[in-house]
Amino acid sequence: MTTAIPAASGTPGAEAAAPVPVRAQRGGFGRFLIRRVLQALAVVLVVSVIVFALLHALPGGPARGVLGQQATPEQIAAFEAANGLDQPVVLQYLSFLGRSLTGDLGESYLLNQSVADAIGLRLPKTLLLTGLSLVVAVLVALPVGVYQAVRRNRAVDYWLSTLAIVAYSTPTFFLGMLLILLLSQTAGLFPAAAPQGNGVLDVLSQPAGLVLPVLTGAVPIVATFSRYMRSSTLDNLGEDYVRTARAKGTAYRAVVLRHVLRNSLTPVVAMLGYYLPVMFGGALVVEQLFNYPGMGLLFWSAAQSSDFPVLLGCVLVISVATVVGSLLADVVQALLDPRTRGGMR
Amino acid sequence: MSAPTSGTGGETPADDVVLRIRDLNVTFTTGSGDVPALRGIDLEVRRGRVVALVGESGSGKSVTSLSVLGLLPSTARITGSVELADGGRLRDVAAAAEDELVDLRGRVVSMVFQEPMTALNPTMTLGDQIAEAVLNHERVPRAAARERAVELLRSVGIPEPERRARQYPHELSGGQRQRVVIAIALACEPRLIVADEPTTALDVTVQAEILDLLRELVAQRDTALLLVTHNMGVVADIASDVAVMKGGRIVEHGPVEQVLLAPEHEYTRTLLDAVPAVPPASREARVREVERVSSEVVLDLRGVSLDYRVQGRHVRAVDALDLTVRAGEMLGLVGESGSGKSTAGRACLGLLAPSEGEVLLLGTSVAKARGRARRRLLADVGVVFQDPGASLDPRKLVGESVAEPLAIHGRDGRRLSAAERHARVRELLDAVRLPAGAERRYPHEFSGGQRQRIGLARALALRPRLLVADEPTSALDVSVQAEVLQVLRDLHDELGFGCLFISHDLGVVHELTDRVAVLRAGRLVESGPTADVFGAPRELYTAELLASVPTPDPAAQRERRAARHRLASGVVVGVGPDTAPGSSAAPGSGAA
Repeated sequence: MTTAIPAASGTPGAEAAAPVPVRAQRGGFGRFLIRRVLQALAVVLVVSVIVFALLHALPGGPARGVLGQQATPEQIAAFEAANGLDQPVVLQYLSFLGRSLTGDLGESYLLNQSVADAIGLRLPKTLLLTGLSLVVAVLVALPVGVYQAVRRNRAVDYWLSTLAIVAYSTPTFFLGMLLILLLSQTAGLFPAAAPQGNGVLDVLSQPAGLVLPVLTGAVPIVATFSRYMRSSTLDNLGEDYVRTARAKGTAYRAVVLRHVLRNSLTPVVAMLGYYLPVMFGGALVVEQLFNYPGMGLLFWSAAQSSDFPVLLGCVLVISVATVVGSLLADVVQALLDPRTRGGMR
Repeated sequence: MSAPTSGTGGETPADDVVLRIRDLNVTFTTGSGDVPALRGIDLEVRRGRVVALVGESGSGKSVTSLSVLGLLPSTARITGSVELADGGRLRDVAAAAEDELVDLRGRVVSMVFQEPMTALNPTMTLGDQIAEAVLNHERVPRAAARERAVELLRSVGIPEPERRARQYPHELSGGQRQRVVIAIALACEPRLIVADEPTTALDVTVQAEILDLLRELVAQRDTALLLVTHNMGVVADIASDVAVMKGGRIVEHGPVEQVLLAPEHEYTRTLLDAVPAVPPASREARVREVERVSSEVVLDLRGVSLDYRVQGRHVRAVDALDLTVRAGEMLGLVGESGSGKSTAGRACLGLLAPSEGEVLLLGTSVAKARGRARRRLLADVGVVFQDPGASLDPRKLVGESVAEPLAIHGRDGRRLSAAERHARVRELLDAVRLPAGAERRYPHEFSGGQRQRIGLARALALRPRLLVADEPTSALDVSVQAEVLQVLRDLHDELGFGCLFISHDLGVVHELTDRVAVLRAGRLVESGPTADVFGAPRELYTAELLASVPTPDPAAQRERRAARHRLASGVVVGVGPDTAPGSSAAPGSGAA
């Protein structure tokens, strides 16, 4: 083990100089992160332009929207002057941007509350609900996916696949009602109503009430991501590096856990990031069903009562969540896979 | 079928036997019945010997190598025995349970694979991947295993091993990755290393270095090597014994000089005859054709430079390249991977626009032609790609694929009727010697060589004045390659198009082309008549390239290797005909 054999040509570096492009690690992870965050900010800026445009596309403009149908032209003119709506559009946008950045998203028509307050009160609770659903779902889906891939085409794989497809194709509201019927009405295990209260702590103080909403939110994610994980793991089990690992005497179990798992996670994590806005959509149904006081319920009631400022505020929040989701996915991906750090793929 | 065992040294048997395969039969269970892969293999590998297993795709050589490590898929049914010497006793891999195999793999026997680009885990550092092999079999602290990994990297000739150990596979070139795979195989000092086509995916110069490394490691550590390869030159370079496989059987087996220089079995002779060598026995056949080269220039590259953008930086792939191809001529464009030869080929097809210089097709600049004129110009260029499987639409009938250029371009400015197209397709498929009815079948029903001939038929559908062939036979077995090249040569003689033949295989280029251009890192190193350039290279790089091509004659290969080492150490003597001794595989040229 001590004698070094010099590369035979006498020039050990000859291959390094070979024209195969060895990717330069320029700047590494820090630089990747900075670039990616700047990209995300650019997207958020574009989103703000769209939301601003939507605000101005309200029937009769924002003034009519705030003052109502009975407002006189004089009142509207006064309102527009007071709120700078007679200014050039670019200036209006800049001031909208400034207000949005300081958290001022306007007033709700109905709630007698600022949009920021309305959202600020409910967003954490929705984050709690979707966060819990996500964590539970991932903890179940990933092991199930890996297990199915290892046991591919056996009876247990077929059964789990069937279950996943049934769960995936069941509408969330129906699933929720089914769970209420089975676990609450019949078995009496958990309450059918979600915990009420103003803060996250209030909600957390009634964990039993959280079970059914979290479960209802988690089941579709489990169904989706166990499928992703299964196919990703299967792809990786067929890779050459798996054979190399086995050839050096690594036990199959260790091959799966040490080599395959990390490589299989990369595409799944990307999907999880893009799934974040979908989960907000799911929250809409779950919160409605269980009367859970979160963003979904807020969005739902605002949509029913044409409370445009609240609706747009929600749109802005969900858009930002989408951008943050894909940013997080990219960061985790870069941590998992060194090849993506150069921003090459 | 009892093949003679390889003992030439006269040691007592069993003592130094590290692998003994007896009457090994492997059958794969598939949806459409059982497919036998191995039928009664007998093979012995002794300490310090290099046994080469040669044969074409489907001959069962890879199945044999995988069975030695018990790595066959679960659809394989195995009878017979595969015994490995472990300490004083023989352990039968064919009958071993999985945990027993886990104990044997890496410690007693290890493996080097064909594809260094995918054989390593992309998300684990090189050091950890080597250390894992150590930790699998030895109770040592992790830090000690890491140190061993660095030591192993050093021993396989990787510069800066400490830094490399912390890097990931994508940061290394293919040749270096193969060195890492070898380091993993060496980690626990196994008695036997199985290497399955370890140099097939590498450039010739890198291949020569890897073979040198394997030869020295085997000699130094007294390890045995079971080498699976289709390349007779590689066999001549490194093997002490050869087993020739065909259809799951060993058809000939013996010491390397005997098998390569005085083959007994018909199939071995066929294999050896199909190997294109540098230089071939005679040049007369080609000289006749050189006279048929007209003075009309079909392709003219003038100072062409091509750039790629990589991470926002411009990387020059081709630098101020001048080339001409005349009608009726074949120009070989050779170079290692990354030399820019394929990029240059794409520019000739109008697929890439040069950043400097111009590409003239039949005297017209490709870049300046627009619209209909451009389409008509490009109709005069045919192309054949490397991968015959991927370059045909799997959902189109062969006839449709071949007819497609006719449907797009018509002929002489007019559309062809369905009947005319059909007649032309039949004519083309006849020309590439495909059976009647081939046009009504799908690509997957054909073998690789047949598919490449379909590609050739499609390329010639419009009677192009120029054919660009980018590594057309690199994915094929030698005997199939010989067949495809013969078709290409005949059609070239008959139709008189100019041909740009891009290849890394100097033997093929030498047999086929009239003139050759050598590329290195995007620059033209040397060009001229093929016989002159290969016979007496003016540039050191060309000489090194030529000396790196192994020849299937053990004695000649030893000389060639020595010449290469002289070249590499800077002693520029004997660059010329004497570094490339002729007569490949000529019986009687000395059983050294």
